[in-house]
Amino acid sequence: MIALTNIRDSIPRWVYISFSIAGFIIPLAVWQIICSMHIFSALFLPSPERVFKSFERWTASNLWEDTYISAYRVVSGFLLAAVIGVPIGIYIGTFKMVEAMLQPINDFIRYMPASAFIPLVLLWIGIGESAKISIIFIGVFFQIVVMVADAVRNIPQKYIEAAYTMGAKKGEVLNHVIFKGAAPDIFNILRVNMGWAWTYLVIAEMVAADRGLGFAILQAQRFMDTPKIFVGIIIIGILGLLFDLSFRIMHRIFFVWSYK
Amino acid sequence: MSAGAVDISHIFKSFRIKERKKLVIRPVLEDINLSIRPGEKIMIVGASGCGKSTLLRLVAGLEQAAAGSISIDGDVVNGPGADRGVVFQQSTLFPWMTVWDNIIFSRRLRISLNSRDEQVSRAVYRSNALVTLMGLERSVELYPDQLSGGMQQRANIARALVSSPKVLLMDEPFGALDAQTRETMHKVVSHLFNVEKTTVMFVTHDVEEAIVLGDKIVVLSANPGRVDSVFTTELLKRDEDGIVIKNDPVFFDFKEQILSRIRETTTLRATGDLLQRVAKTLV
Repeated sequence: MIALTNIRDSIPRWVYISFSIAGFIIPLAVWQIICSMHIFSALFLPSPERVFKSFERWTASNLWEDTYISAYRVVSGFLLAAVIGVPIGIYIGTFKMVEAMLQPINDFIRYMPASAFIPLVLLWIGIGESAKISIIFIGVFFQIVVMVADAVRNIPQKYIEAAYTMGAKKGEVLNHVIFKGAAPDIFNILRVNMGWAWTYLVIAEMVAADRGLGFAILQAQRFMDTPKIFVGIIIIGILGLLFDLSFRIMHRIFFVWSYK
Repeated sequence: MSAGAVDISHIFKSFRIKERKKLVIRPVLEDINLSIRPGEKIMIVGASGCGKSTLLRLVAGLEQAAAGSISIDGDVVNGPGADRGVVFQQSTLFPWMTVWDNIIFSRRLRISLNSRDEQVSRAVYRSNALVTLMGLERSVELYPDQLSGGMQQRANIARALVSSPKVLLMDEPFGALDAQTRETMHKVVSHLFNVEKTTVMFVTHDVEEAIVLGDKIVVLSANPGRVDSVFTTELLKRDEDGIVIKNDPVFFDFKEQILSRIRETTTLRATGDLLQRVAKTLV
């Protein structure tokens, strides 16, 4: 008999996978049952079958093009935020002077909703691709900075002292101890923020877009095409899941030591 | 590196601590003077909170003294450096590196191990020698978390010695180990001390450990820490490997002398403090 409810106890891999699949199948089944009972109008809650048909129609037209352009926007905004945000976060977590200068302003902007920046982005950047990428950038950049700074602060002081006693200079401590020690956490932070970047997609594609998954969802809303809204949301979810899975696999490959 | 004469002169150190919501200055070390000859193994003992570890951290350059100076072979200590290897109570092996990468870390900082010059072969030779000496041959490819506490401390010692420091500073390195592992570590370290002629400053609360491993034992009094007395182990009986024989009346007497000094310095002050507090309460 396998104990499934022991606190933090591991369970066999096949049981784990079965539960993960069940986590998807059960809501799907509930959804199907509710639809077959005709409790809600199909306008509000289309059946899985109608959603699948809508998916087929969209695939035949421009689903892949929409998916590609959305993925391009999300990945570009995310990468830009990561490339700039990670070093800034490391410096904030390492040097008190940088912390004093940048942390309060970062926290100040962090609480502002990304959608509120849309008019400003339109004004400053225009209506091209860079405007959409900027919204995603604004959505995740400030989060990456604060989370990376915290990860860096969590590196135990004993490692830094040990490196100094072995003759390491400041830059070497930063590179060999602080960055390498915080790297698995930073990678996880990027994984989480990649998920958030996808959630900003619909907001980003509110900015004068004519293609993309978020844009398609907004268009479908105008024409009360609920099945297409469902398809769009599900596809964003699947893409997010795939990105998340890739990050997890890479984490296991790059940071073998953290799984010992 | 060679030599390794340590000169500690009139060291004062205090910490700011919060006491009843007020910041007060608590002196930790007061007028510490010690002169350590090259190659000497000095053990520092004393009651908890007497400043043993603080003294070691001052020599390591991890703390700044309020007054006084510390020099190694005449060079004043201004901060941490590779001329002083440090082994802490808790393992400081980097979890993201294998044991081998940890051991060779300090050498890798200064020389590119991909080149083929003599410096590299010397560094690798010394690292290998230390790995063998500390019995780590089978552990070099493992990550620190895969090692037992005792093996981790062996790797920490090897890592601290790989750059041939003038002084090896050890802050209760076996404090977190069980009695049996500690016994094994004493044998390993005794052998190491015979082979490596590095000057050693070793902080411990275990008097027996101090007698077995040290040439001299410095007793620090508590609140604030001062050098109370210095004992030398040269008159103790040793076996053919040079290790102090514990099962000997001279050993017991010696141990008792040191323990009574520690007790006396602690009790006197504790009693004094207590009397003062009682007097204040009565008034």
